[in-house]
Amino acid sequence: MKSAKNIFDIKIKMICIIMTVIIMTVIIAAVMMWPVSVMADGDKCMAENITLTVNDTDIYNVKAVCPYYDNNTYLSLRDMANAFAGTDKAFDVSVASDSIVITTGTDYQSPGIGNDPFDQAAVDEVYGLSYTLKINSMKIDGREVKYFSLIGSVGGVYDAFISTTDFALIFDTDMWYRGDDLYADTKSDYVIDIDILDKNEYFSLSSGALVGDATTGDILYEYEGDKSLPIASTTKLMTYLIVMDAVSKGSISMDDSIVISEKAEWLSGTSDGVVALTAGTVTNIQDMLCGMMIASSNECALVLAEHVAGTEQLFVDMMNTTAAAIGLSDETVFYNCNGLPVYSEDMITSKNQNHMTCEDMFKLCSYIINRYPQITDITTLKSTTLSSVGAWVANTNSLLYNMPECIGLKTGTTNKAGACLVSAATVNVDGTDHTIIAVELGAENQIYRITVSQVLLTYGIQYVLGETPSHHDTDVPGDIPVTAEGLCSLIVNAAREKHEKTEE
Amino acid sequence: MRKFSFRKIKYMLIGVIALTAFIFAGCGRNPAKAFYGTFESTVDISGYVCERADEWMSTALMSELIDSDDIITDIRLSVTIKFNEDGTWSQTADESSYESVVADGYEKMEELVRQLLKLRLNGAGETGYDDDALDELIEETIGMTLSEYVNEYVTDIIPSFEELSDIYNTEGRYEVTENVLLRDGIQEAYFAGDDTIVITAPVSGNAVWENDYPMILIKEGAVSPEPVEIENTETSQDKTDSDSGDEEPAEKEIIELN
Repeated sequence: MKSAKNIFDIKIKMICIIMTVIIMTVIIAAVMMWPVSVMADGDKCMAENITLTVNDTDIYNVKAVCPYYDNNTYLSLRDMANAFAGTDKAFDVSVASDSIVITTGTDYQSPGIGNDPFDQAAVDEVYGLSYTLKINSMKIDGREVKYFSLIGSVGGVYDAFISTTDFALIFDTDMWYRGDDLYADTKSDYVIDIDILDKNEYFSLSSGALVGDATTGDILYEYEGDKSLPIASTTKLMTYLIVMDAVSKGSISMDDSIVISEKAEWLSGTSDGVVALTAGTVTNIQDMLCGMMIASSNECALVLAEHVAGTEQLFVDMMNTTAAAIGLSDETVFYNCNGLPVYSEDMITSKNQNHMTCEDMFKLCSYIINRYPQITDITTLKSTTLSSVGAWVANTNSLLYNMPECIGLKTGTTNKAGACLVSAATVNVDGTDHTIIAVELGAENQIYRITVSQVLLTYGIQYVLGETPSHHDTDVPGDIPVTAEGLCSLIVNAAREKHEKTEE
Repeated sequence: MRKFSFRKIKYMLIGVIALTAFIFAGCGRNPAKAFYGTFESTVDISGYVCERADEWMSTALMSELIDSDDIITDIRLSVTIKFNEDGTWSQTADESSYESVVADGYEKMEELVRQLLKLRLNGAGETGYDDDALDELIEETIGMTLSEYVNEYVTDIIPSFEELSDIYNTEGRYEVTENVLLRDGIQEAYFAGDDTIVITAPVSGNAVWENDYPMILIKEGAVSPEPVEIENTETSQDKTDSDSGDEEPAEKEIIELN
């Protein structure tokens, strides 16, 4: 009996061991496969072939992908280069797995492949392509730029895709859609038609948008300009003003030595920290201003606030007082010096964020630019080293790369505020420098933040220079429908109208 | 011990001789010889155009009442078929015919759209629009003729030449017996003339291009013959007779039973 029981036990144990091995094998296999599939999973893109007419004469096929949504069109740089060969806007492009190099003024050196259209299978498979939309390394004539692009292998060679708007801005080419077809006039520059954009609700990509001439005080365009919106780290523009006013008044000096507080050290160690600070370290105003304005360091802003006012709360009082003093509306309210969310002291706590209108932000920036133009000495730096704290910081404003004429000013991002950017550029008109300021608040993501800001700033520059957009027939004549039902409805309605007129 | 039977051997020899004679008689005439060479033919791509036309039409109310198969028919693409003496054959689509395929396809699509519009106008109580009146209304409304509209806005209804090449370019092995061609597992009945082979219908196996029978293969360089009419062509696809629409249905004879 004992031996039979032993045999039974042994069998049970063997079964358990075998089952365990099988299960572990399956788990290990799944774990090994899972990261690959996750890493390989990019943004889902629809593929389409677009007809491009260049200079009213030459017709080309351009591959396009639409990440996430239909009509979110990103054009193949190889196909565009092929189409622009021999024109005023010719360019060569080479694409590797994660980099793009563009050389303007020279025809496309085709590798012999890569310009075939997408095959029908790719077009039919909705969201079949998987690329990752990100800021890939990109250089134009040796200059680094930061545009969002998709890179993928197409037809045996890497190709890069960028948005139609970015393409028009980069190559300064007049481009427009008529129905699904794209047109390009390489002999004309891309002049922003703000009326068309406004009509198409382009700026609803943001919660608020405005562009104005800080030199004259004129607002050139605004969308929801008087709407109170959270402003995130663009708050630091006001912080900069208070600090510089304190320097101007002699309350503090640029030569002051500042001892970093424990509160600042604590903040730098949180998830909102940007620059590592150690309590007791001696720093200076210039380094803290650079850390705050270039890298959007919340702890550097706190260090400055404490140095100016003793405590952050007193500094915030100064911010609100100054806002009123320079004529900002009641919609402008500050709760802290850096733009982070603030929990109130109530039992049922509220999460407050600094807020302003786009109009108020334009007024504030105009005031700062006119009073402290040296702000651009900091805001134009793409990177710098904060020697006193041993930190190297990079500018969060990608527009500095994309627009050489951009002179700043400040980015801002929180969940509630969205992606914000206050930017500026200087343009000389008849011997007078004009500073154009663009305010963009509440974009859904970085892509829109950069593009909307570049469009606004470009428009402001073009407006001041007196450039007017070409008017193109972007509507198909008589709003011709392209669907069967659309055509039927149109014709039936036309017949009815004709009938009624006849009866009258 | 069994007795050795010369009679059995005799009958066996007679049978072998007869069989051999039969084989030689059969082999004397090689039916495959009629196939050697290069032939020109056409294939009907209407089905592919109908699919795309139906997709474009599908957004329109009442489009299900129109059968695109009745209007988009007989759009023929030229193909070249080569039968080699080593038993291999190949078929390639002919690009020079593609332009006329496109033109033909769009012409038929224009007619399909015209029929749809007429249907919708009738449905809306706007009767009395013949072709000319409808064309005039269209041109007044959209600023272009229906033909111009279809060519510009109803895009991609004709498969590209590359797509058609993918479908129709093929190769394989073939065998020929008297009246039956075997290629790619399909047996097809045929009859051959001097410079023409007419493949009438599949005998067994699934037909590859059901609508293409009879396939008329004309030897390269020969004069094309008069169209061959084949009665009662059977294909593997069931066909139902459709009403012509103009004929009155025959009245049933009523038989009164007393």
